[in-house]
Amino acid sequence: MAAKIGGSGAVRQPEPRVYSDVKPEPPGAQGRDLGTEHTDTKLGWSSLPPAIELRGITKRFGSVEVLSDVDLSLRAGRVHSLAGENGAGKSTLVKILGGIHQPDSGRILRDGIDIAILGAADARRQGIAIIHQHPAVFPDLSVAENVFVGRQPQRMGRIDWAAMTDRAQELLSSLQMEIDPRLPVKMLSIAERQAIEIAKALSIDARVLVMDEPTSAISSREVDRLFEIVERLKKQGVAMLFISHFIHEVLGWGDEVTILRSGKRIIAAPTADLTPEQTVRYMIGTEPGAFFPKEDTQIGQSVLSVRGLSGAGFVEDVSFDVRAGEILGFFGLVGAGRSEIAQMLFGITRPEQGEIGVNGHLVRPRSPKHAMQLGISLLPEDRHQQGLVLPFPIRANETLPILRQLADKLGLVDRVREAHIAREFAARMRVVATGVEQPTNTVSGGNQQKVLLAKWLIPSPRILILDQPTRGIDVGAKAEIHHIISGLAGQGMAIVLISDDAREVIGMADRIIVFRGGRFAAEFVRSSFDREAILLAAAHLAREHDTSEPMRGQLSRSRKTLRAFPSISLFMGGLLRVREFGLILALLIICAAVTMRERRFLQPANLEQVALSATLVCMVALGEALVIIAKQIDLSVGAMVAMSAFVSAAWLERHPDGWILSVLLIGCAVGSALGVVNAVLVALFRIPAIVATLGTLAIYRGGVIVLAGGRQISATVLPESYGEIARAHLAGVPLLVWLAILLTVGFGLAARFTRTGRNLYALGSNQESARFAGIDERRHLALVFILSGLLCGFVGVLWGARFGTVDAVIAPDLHLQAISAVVVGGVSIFGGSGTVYGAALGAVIFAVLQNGVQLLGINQFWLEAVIGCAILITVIFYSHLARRAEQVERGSRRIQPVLRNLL
Amino acid sequence: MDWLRGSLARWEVFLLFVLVATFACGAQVSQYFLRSSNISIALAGMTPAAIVALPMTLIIVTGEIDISVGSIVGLCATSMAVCLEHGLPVGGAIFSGILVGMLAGFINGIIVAYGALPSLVVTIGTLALYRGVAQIILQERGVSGFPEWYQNIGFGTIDGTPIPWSSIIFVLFFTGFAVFLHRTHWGRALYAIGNNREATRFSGINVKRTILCLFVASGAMSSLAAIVLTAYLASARSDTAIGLELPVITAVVLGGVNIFGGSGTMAGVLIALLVLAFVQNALGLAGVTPEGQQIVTGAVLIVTLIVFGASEIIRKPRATLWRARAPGPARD
Repeated sequence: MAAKIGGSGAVRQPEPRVYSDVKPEPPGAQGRDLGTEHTDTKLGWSSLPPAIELRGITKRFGSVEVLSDVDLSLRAGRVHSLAGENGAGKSTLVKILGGIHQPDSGRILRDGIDIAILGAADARRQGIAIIHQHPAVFPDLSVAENVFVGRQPQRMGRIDWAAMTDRAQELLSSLQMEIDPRLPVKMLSIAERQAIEIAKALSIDARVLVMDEPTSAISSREVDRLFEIVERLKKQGVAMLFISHFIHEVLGWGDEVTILRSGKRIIAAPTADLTPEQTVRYMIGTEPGAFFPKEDTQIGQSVLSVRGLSGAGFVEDVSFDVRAGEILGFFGLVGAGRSEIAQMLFGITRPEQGEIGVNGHLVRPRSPKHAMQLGISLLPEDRHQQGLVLPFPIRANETLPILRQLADKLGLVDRVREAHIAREFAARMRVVATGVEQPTNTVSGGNQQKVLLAKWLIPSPRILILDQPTRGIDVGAKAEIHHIISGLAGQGMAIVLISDDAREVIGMADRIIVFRGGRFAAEFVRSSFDREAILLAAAHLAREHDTSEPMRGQLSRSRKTLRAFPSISLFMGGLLRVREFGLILALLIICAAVTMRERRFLQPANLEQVALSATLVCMVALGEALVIIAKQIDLSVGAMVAMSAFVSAAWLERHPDGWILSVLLIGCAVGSALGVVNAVLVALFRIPAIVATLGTLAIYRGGVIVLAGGRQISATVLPESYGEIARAHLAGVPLLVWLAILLTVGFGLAARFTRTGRNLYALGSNQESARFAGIDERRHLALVFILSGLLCGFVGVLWGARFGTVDAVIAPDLHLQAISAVVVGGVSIFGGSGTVYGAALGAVIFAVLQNGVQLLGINQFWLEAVIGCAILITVIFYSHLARRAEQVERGSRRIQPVLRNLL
Repeated sequence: MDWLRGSLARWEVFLLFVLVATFACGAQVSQYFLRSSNISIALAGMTPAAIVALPMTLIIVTGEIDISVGSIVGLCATSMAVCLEHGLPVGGAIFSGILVGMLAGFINGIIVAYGALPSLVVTIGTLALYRGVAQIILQERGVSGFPEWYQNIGFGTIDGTPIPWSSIIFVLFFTGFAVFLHRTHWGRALYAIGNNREATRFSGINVKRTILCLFVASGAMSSLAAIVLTAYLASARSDTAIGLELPVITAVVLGGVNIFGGSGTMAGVLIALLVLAFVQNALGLAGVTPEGQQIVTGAVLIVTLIVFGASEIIRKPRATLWRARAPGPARD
């Protein structure tokens, strides 16, 4: 293999200087030790030891050696590129640096001293930061919090939000990124999220920055921006490892490059000494041959013709024709509208204007199913999200679109035919797997892409739209897919090939249309393909943009003005506060409506009753709110309240002289103990919370019923002081109400101003990222369930005090009431957003509704229906708000092209 | 026989052992346990929950949930009661019940599928709403006076055999649902939706309409459960089947259906239903109160999950407990 590289005389390139090689090849080069080379004064390398150095790293998974004896050294102020095909071991190396994997053998040295990197948090402590292709962020948290998650600046034991925002702002401006640190991250683009990750790395003074394919998911304008940032970080003395699939970036960004192949280091050399062709040869090990084997085909009649297509918000007036046997390339930057056009043709989105003709007939694709009937197939851009059902076997993925055709009238699938077709196409696409029953998520990216291609070829389309068919797959698989595409065109299929890679479209297409900002920019025919002209046509916009830098300021200004309007500021950081404002408004309206009909509502005695009935649910809802914010659910709250109420009352019955505080302690102890059981099941045994608490709900409730044996404990047999808890007043307001307010405010402050509180939000927002950020998931999950139990225990004691009698069946629907209060209070059932104040307000609203129904003499049977309606209305309302906020945000992003037209 | 080693060799076989153990213990507890009359009582008692568990399995496979089933059963019972009160024939009452059930399911489905709202919250809302409507209509009245043949649906057995009529109904529907889920293209689509909704949409499957249909089916099956249950109880009240969602979801989850969607089999749910029915029956024979049975049911759910999770961990050290045990989808 190695001999081929050196011995082949086909391409005569100046041989690179090779510092170290697996086998010293080519013969002319001297395999020198990498360590001595570092002191090469000609290159001006510092004589300091590398910031981080890997020596002889070997890693095995089972019997497979993924990395064998790999060396790598990263030096301060230099960018080291890492190249290799998929499966060469790049990501394993990154994971070793990030502390996710431990090497089986080999040394890691930091400033020349041996270290071990134990876990993601440890990597960060040691000054190593990893920027992923798709940064793992907390979408619900603000930019500033994302930067500082887990280590928010504190003052006097509480999180200093102002300082945090300021510091995030400073960091971002040092990267020249104009992002408002108060924006929730879900509003940001991938490039902006990467900038946040870099800001995070700067904030921990990372000395080593590992960038794992940062450029593959962002537009070329953003890539330029990232490059500027990298140059700046070099000056600051950060050591960087840069990984990319794009050879020109590998060579252009890095000072030196290490190339891996099959887990071995093939070469490490200064990038200046390598040509792109050599780099590719080192990566794939054999002569690359023709990368993009477009065969000449007979081009026939126009199959698909599009006239004046507009839609998806910014695609405007697009017209083109594709003929049988033709490959039409769509080129443009990310966001040029190519995928949007494809999705309109495939019936995913409806065009606002324009005509689509298939074989001369005017059509309007209503849905993907309809588009398939018209003979259109779309291989979507995002293989994981839109393309494949990853846990399915390869067979089921291949046949999903045509399964309907493989079924008889009753819908029964002909499984013999299904397997036959699946096998045939898997073979035709040269999918490498143990068979078509292998789960799709266990084959490599390139093979997944081939499965996806098979999936969309099985319907035998006349028009095939390929959206980034070779993105993120290795060079070998790329060539195979190109070969297949070329063959399909040869059979007379009309193909639209969408790509980011200019060389791909130039190699493959018969014609290229360049898009820019949702519009047609230029068209080229094969005879006049000119890479520079094509890139220029696509990048025109980027240049415009660069020369009109003030626009960016304008954009952020436009965001600021939007924030001035309360309704629009909903999508900003103010979302939560506005939500609570709305709740208070709703509460006041309900109160006013009830008062208009029935004056007695405002009588102090009545208000007291309302407040008292709100308090108990409110306290339970506080715990439930924290549970739900952490993306869990606790169904067992009612049963826990009943258990604690009965146990504490029974104890008091036996010890009538007992100290009243000890009843409270017993109640709380019982509640906490039950909470601990939930916590163990969820945090330790990892049983989904909804299932675990469904089980404990049955156990706890059954337990208290067995314990009570049908007995009721009446307050008359209990000491006077017990009932006093509920009757006591402080400043004219019941003690219980004070307690509830105190707890609400306490929990509210804790949720906002402690790291633990913020960690709960982080956990609910994105579990995976929380784990990477070093947040102890188990501890926090355990905490919320124990807290929920504790509160239920406390409420249990108060329940008996307030209602006078205790039996085993009290609070049967408390879990539904608490969850309803939390949801109506604006806490997202999906976790990560909302406040405990909202949950408390939700509880009050339900209490007022209940009281109102009673006061107005409406039959009590109406109550449940009213509550049901209230839940539905608020949920629909919130989702409407969220959607509008999203639209407004998208709108503000769209201002960009509009402004550009004006300038 | 790939599927034998694949999905069945894992969760369902484990459940079968639990079922055998239940029978062994039950036979120890009481000499009556294995008598045909007792078995038929155990089966008849479980049927209403079992009927609702069928559509619930499909809904949970797609990653949704329907908490409102108990209330739909109550609402259907109420509407049948009202029809009977107004002197309509039983057939008309049944028809109205089914219609009401489908309508209730349709409302759930429309809000969940086309409003794109979380089904957990929506059906908690309709749980209160439907129960509330039932209470408004029927208040505290109970309506009885069902004809003999009707009551036979709940209690009766096929002449000369110990097989309850309700079980026959269940077996018919179970077969239908199992074939639907595991053998038809619609069933495959449900697994696809549960695993990756967007990719399913891109594959030309109408996800929203599918989910709407599932909720309508859930409503229709709830009305069937209402018929069986009112026949079993010989009366229809607004509080019929309060809390039914708990045993139903318990059975589905115990049956190995991933609560987050994407995997699970009908066979597993069937075995889980049998386990629950006979555990409760055996406990009843042993003189344990219904509440005690409730405890054991909850415990069976949790212990099974823990034990299976632990055995899974021993086999595959690096797998996480819950994810690892999900049987492969569409390995039907």
